[in-house]
Amino acid sequence: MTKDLNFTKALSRLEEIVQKLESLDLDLEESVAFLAEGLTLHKKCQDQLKHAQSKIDKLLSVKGGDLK
Amino acid sequence: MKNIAGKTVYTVSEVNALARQTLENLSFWVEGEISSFKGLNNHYRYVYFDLKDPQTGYKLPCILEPDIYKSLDFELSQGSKVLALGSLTLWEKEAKFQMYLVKIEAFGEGFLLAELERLKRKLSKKGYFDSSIRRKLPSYPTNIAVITSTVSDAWQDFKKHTIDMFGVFKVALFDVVVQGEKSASQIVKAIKAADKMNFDAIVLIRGGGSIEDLASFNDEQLADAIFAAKTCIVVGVGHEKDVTIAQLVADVAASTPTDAAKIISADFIRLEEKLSETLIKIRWLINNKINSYSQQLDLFFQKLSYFIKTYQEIPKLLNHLQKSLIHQQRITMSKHFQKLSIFKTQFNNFWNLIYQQNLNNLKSLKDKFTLLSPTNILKRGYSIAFSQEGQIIKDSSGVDIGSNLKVKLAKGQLLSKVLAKEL
Repeated sequence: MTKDLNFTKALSRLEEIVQKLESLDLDLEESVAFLAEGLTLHKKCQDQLKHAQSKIDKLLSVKGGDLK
Repeated sequence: MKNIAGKTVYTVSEVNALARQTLENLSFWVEGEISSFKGLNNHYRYVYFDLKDPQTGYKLPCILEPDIYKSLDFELSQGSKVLALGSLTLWEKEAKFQMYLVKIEAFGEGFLLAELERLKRKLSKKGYFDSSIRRKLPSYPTNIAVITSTVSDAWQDFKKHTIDMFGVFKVALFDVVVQGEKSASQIVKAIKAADKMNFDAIVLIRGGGSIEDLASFNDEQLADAIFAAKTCIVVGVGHEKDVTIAQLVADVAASTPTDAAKIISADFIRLEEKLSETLIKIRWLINNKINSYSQQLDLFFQKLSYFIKTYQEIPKLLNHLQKSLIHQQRITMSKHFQKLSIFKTQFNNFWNLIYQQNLNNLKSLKDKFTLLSPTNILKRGYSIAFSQEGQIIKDSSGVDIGSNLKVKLAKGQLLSKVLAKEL
């Protein structure tokens, strides 16, 4: 499930997971499952952000080449 | 002057005087090199030197007032090329012909400048410098004719600030001589040719130089060509202090070739600046977004970490619970044991009491019982009669006369025979 999400969806799923974990009415198995999913989502989101950042840096470092 | 034999005869002095008067009516600007220069000398009334024609070597003796000499704004010396204004005169005593100078200017410049001023006045009258009739440089000009010497720095400067910066320019280069006799006519020809080719602008450029070097850019025919052209003409000549007629007539005057290039590419520079501002803005916005996401992620991670920590502490908690359970259990057990022990003591006490009581009761019963026992009754003198079958006889009616009876006494027994019976 986690694999197919785009960044925004992954982020909101992560938020949902955190809320669920905070709600305190989960049993241990559920909590651990949510925690594992949450950590995977966090890593995925962070990687996507880093990737986006470096891509943007690369794109925007080309100076005024547009008229050439 | 006298009349001798019908002839008008002059003395030498009179001739020389007449010659002097005649000569003194002639005044000129003369171009020449200073020669035989002796400098200022307090012993002489004037400063003496010759003006020499450098091509023929002919000389013209000159005299100059020391005051004029002192007020010159350049250094007059042997070999200086000057323009001198003066009138001819004659030293009557020796009939030596001289020029009496009233003004001296450094070579060429004065003359050329005077020419230039004259031409400027003329062109100004013709309206050549009228700014209201100038053609405007089109926006974003791309199709450009450049008239210059292809081997010049001017071209390199122009190129550097136009086609080297922006690929949009299509430049047609008209290679001309920018100095010397043929220069002006080549430039005029190039302007006329370029003007027919629908360029966005014609750019005429040249590096700096002396007024002589720049003569072709002060040419009247060039001014005519620039004025007549239909295309917008940008002229950038020399360093900033040089202003030529070509620049004055031009639709757009640039101070240098680089300046001309900047004028041509100004729209593109502005466009690029705008693009770069936009890029900066985009970068700022994206960075903001990424930062905000990053912070959100950090917050989530912090929360997740909190849960991880919580779960990591579960075994510890369990261990702790286990210990306290064991402890609690021990306490409970020990309480029970204590209670049990109390119960046991109490029970023992009770038991002893009950036992003692019962024992006493028993004893009293035994006593009672002993008192009531047949033996004790026998002791009081009673006896018990048993039948032969061993039955206690309580009623005489069942006993046959003559039957044997056993009579038990407190001490011993008697075997007896029933003799009679009474009811």
